[in-house]
Amino acid sequence: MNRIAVVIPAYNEERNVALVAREAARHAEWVIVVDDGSRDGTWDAIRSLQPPIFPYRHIINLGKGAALKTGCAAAELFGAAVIVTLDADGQHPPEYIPGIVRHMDEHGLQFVFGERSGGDRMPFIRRAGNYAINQAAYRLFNLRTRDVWCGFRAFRASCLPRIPWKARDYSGEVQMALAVGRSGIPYGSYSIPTIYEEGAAKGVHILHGLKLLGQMALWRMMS
Amino acid sequence: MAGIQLIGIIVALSAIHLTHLYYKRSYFSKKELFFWAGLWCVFMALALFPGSVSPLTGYLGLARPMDLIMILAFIVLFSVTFHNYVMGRTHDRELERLVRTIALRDGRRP
Repeated sequence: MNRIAVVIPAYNEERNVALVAREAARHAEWVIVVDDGSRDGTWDAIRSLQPPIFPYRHIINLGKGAALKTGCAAAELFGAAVIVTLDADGQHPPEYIPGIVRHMDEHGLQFVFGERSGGDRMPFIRRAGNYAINQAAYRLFNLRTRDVWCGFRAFRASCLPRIPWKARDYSGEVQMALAVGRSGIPYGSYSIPTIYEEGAAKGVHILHGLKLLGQMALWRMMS
Repeated sequence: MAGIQLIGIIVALSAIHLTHLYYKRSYFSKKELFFWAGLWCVFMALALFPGSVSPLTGYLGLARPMDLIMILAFIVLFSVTFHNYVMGRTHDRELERLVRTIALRDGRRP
């Protein structure tokens, strides 16, 4: 199965996380779920899941970037060759895991970004925010992807040292994406449908987007 | 007594009271109690007798005692802010490292 590890960072996702993990387990050798200090029953929902699902837990909330770091570190310990990340809220269909990995293999890529298509149900402000972030990633870092903020992505575990991210919060994902552009590793995109539920991307609002744009400008100046 | 002096004394006395409270709650050691209480006493003395730094102002080429106090205050303020920032960042990184280490140690493995 190409030694695929799926990493799912989860925060307050008691309703969806177990289902997403079980679905992902059908397409991967290991599914690593990192409960990022959730206050609801997320940990209870995943702690009893059996291999190939492996639950991990941050005792306090650190942020999505940190949860991804822990998940990827675990995947490296397991000896994974390919790491696929997806969100715990169910907005990324796990049945697309084989497709994104196949896309990476067939095109000789090291990193593949999921690209959400048909996001008509996504609120306008969120679509506008995504557009601004993508444009900034292109203009400042020459990163050619239409969905730099999409949590569904696949990459070779061997890439990890070349795509470090420091940020602990949501911007960690973007930092990782920008590192892909900078490092020169071959990357591509893979289209996935958008399953947008009300309340998705919780805790992310316009101020996060503006802060991220500022950070990107700063990273550009420092790079 | 000028109004600004009165405000300075009230701030210093409140800070000394807080320092004592923190000591009683065992947040501060005896050394910290004396250090911070001493610092606020110096602040209070300067607020009460700003002219006491006059000999220094002449030596440093400053026009008024208040200029020296302001410069010293800025130096202390920036130093404390920088120190707090560094400590905050250090604790932040250490906390992340600790939480992630615990997660990886206690997590299930194949």
